[in-house]
Amino acid sequence: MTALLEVRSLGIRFGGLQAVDSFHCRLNQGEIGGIIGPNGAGKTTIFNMLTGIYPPTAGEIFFRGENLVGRPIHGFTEHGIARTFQNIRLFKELSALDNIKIARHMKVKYGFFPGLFRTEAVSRRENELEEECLSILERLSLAQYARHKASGLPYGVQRRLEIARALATSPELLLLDEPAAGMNPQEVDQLSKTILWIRDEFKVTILLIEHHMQLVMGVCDHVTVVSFGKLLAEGKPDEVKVNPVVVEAYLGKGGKF
Amino acid sequence: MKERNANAGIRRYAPMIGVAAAVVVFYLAIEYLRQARVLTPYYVQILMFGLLNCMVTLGLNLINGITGQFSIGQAGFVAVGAYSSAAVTTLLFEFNKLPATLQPLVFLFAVCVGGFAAGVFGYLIGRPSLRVKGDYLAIVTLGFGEIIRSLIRYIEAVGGPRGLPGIPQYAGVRGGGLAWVLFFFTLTVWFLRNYIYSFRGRACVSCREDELAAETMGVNTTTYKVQAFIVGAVTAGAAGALQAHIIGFIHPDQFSYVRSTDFLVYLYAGGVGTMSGAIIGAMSLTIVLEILRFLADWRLIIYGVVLVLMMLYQPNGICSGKEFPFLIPKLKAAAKSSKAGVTGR
Repeated sequence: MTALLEVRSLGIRFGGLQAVDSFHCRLNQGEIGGIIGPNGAGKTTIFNMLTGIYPPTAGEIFFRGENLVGRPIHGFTEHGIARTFQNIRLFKELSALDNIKIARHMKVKYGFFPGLFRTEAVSRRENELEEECLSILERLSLAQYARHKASGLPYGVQRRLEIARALATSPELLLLDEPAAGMNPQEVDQLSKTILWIRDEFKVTILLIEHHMQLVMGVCDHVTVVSFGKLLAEGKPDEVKVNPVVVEAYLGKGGKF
Repeated sequence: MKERNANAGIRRYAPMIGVAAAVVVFYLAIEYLRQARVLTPYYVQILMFGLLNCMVTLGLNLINGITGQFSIGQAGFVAVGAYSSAAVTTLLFEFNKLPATLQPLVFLFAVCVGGFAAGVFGYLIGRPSLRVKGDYLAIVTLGFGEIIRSLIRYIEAVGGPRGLPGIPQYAGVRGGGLAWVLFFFTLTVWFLRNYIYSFRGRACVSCREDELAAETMGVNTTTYKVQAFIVGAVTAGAAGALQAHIIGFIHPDQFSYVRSTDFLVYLYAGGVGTMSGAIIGAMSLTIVLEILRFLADWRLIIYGVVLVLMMLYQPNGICSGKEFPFLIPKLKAAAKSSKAGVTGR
């Protein structure tokens, strides 16, 4: 079976700084992968390369067997990779519904002039779109916030909305950058369930960055550990947890999870 | 079954027919008042220029308000539209010798040429200059406006620095030009509303809100920034074409950066990001400037004071983010759509 995502010897250099060096990972359809590592290890940089924001200086990103390196950011999205951001980047001034509508951008197609005249077909498509988006919000229990301005929503809801927005692009691979940041233990618990549910409900493969070990150990099939831009270890969560190299990078010598 | 379809059709087009009827009634009312000598041609002409300013400001709103790109060279596009359309009616055709039945067609063609030419310039300018953002883009567009004006001074065929006289006043006040202006104004409002509330318009808004997030949602932000630039230029060009055929004389200095800043002031005073803001701002300030004309040299000082007071007490503009409800397309599911609409501000 060919992997959905296969990253080979990915590296990026900012001037004299080798931020990420020969990173690799492999994700099969339906798996949940995790990237962990201390602050500044280059996790978000990896995500930025996986979504085209930073062009890598070395390596390849194979997605469904196609090398995506060199494509524009929206090209990555068109191929089915969606993401959330560590520091939420919603369209703040817009309603939750409009956030989702923009994410459906690639799924709405009508000509420029029919659009100008707002023909009946265009009107019908816009109505359908409204329903599609409302149903996405509903599935993530956000329906009640549809008409609320994104910036006014509670923090947890904003995080959920960002996930909903990423899902609205109908991705095959969903990248979550620290989805549990700023959440309390109960919320993290809830999030673990949500992530598993999203995988099954939306049939997506998930790759997440997280500091929260409990969450990573709970949901991930496969964990990759990075430190100072280098791949430290990889494997099943339980294997990684007891790997002395990993424990040392995180907690220093003699530490214990 | 057929009957039901017909009914649905009527219901669908009823608002459009209503708007068209309202515009016609408005035109007839003004025409009647003019013939009854209640309104002098001077007032009608102010109204026409107000509508033209609305058109240009609406285009500028798409670029600055909706797409969030700071462009301040709108007068350059107006100039392109004015000169290219005037070239059609004076150089290409001998407009006044054409049979009366052909004149409206040629005039329509001239306005289209004006809009098209401005659109081409919009693309030529937008494509390279949208690589820069904010203040830098403002400087580039300002420079562009001035370059256009300087170039026209060198083109002898359109009068160069002396200006171009003798343009047929086909849209002049006395020739019922208000009808033409109203027609193009209504068309502009309708098209721009449809554009803003289409997926393209939402893509433009996403460029304004967060370009990186927009890209990761699959929006090709360059495409939509350039597109907004072109659409805004076409509107300005059409307005320029009308202007040339109202006064019958155009001069490069009518399209200086002062004119560009006028449009910016209209937009920001009215409320950036909404069509209501562009329309109310352009119309009211055009009229206020005319009312203040009796103050002679004091006029611009008072005008300045008015603007400062507005910044103090109504910083988000007269309309401050509220869109005219009829400018938000109705969706079936959207029974209680928010007042702000997609533009959000």
